[in-house]
Amino acid sequence: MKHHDKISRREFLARSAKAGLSIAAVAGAASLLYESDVLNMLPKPSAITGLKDYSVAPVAGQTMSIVTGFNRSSTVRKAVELLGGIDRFVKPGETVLLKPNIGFATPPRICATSHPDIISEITRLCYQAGAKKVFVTDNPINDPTSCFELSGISAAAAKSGAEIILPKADYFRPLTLAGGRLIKNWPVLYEPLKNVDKVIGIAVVKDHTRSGASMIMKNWYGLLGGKRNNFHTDINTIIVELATLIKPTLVILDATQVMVSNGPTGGSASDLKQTNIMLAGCDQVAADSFGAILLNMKPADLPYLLKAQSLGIGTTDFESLKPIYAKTEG
Amino acid sequence: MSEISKNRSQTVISYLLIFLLILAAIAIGIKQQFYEKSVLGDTILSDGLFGANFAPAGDVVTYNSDNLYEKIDGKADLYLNNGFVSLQCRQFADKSAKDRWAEVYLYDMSDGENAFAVYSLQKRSESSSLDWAQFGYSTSDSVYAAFGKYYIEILLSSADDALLASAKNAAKQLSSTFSAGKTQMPAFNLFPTENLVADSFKFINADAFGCSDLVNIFTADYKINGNSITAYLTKNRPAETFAKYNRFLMDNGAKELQHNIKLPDAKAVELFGTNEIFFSTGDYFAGVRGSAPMEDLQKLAEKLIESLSKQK
Repeated sequence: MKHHDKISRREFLARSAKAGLSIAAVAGAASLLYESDVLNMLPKPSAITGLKDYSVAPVAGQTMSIVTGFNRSSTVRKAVELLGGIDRFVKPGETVLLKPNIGFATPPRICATSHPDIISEITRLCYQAGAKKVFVTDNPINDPTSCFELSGISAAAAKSGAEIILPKADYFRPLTLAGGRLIKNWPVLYEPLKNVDKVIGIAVVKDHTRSGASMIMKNWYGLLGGKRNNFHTDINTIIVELATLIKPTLVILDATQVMVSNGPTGGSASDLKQTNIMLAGCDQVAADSFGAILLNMKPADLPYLLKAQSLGIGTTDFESLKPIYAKTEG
Repeated sequence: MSEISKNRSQTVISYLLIFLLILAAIAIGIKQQFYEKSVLGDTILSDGLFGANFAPAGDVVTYNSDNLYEKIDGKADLYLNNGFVSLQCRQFADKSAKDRWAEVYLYDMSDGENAFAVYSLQKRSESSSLDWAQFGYSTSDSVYAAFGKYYIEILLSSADDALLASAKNAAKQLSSTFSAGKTQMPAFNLFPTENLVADSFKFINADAFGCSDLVNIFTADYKINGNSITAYLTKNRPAETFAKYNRFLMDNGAKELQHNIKLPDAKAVELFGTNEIFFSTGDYFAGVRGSAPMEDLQKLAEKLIESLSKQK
């Protein structure tokens, strides 16, 4: 720049003032046009305050069955039969939602997820009872597609005619549990639950670092969305609230192989103990209380069981239900 | 003239500053090129980690303390309570059989003690030691090792001897890449060696034996007259820990027992069928516990006290 090209201080200030005015004018116009409350202008999904009761009428002496055998298809079939058969739980024309534990992208042999043979057999039984449609859903920790595929549940569902519902953002709805402390306006995988007639919980017996055990009641955790790991600091409360929320038709607890250590992920066959037990029941607290014993615990060792019992969700004294014991050849 | 001279010197200074800025940018660029290249997962969990017959099934996926639960859910707490920094995962699949795969979990646990803690707390009983590793073992379908600040798990699609051999090689390769050397665990030398169960050392960072006041505890298992006894010790505030642990046991219904330990801060109790002697001596809080006769516990406690007294 030549010396004589230099602008004077006066001109510099004038130009700066003009530039400032231009910026202020644009910012002012933008601010006038800006709608700060745009999110509130969008239609909000209606808040849900609970789920329907999917349970069936109790039948004395047919609340819990425990079948011994290593073939899961045989034992689960027998266990359901001992409770009065699938016809007691599923009526012709009804829709059924299966809620297995598909939390991890691991193969069935690790037993971190529900076994595909059980999904196949329960689906088959439901259709045999005249079910209109059987669905399978879960909101896994890992990538849903990988979890469903690697766990063998996608293939099992395809083979038996069940429809997989993978979690999508618009399937979740905010839910507030009446009297709940944690489930308040929290996203729940509502869409698959909304229109079905029956819900069957299918879980494995696993050690769990935080809650002590992961079985039927903890399995409902897979219906939560959002940053649900926040609940890990109050795991017993969230498990009880979920068990309050979901009143299932039937629960299946698979203890053919129990993950006795390094749960809930495991990773090695050396974390498993072969116990060859399958449980079917209508009382999820009783089912988990039985499962606790398989993990060398007492029901009292799991605070959520005592809490659930005190709220009348079920009983930890599963023997009082007079479980029906049986054995299968397979 | 003076104005021109002033402008010239300003120009020179400006060029000098620009030159310095360019130099700084180049230096940063060079530094970034080599930034911890040896420990970054995308380099270490390289495409060829499992040899020519295997290919990565995807990129390296990295987790931090905010999203670790997305990979391992409820087990995240175990790592988060033990100095967890990051986890890098990558799966490798057989090129000719996609259902034959190995998944590598590389945990950065910030230091050797933390890596050993998560290693020892998850150690499978049915396992074989890796002869080349200070801390390492395999099961029929997995490999586990701790080296330096890293803890590694390699999980296999099935119990497959050839795949297991590849996984062991991969773990060895990773271990040598880190060049961590031996992790110093001086606490191990404080435990008596007689009747010590091999490879039974553990390090518990928090909530040892269900007591929130028991932190940074080393344990070792012993087999004496057919009974299992666990010895433990910590350098963490011995007198205070003694008092707090005593209160914890009493609050939970422990019954005090007679003992012959010649220390002012020593107690013997029975709780739920487990006998326990605990004490503080010098810099250490320590004890022995197990469903074993008091005589056996007492003998082991005396040996432990003798060993600890040599450290004073």
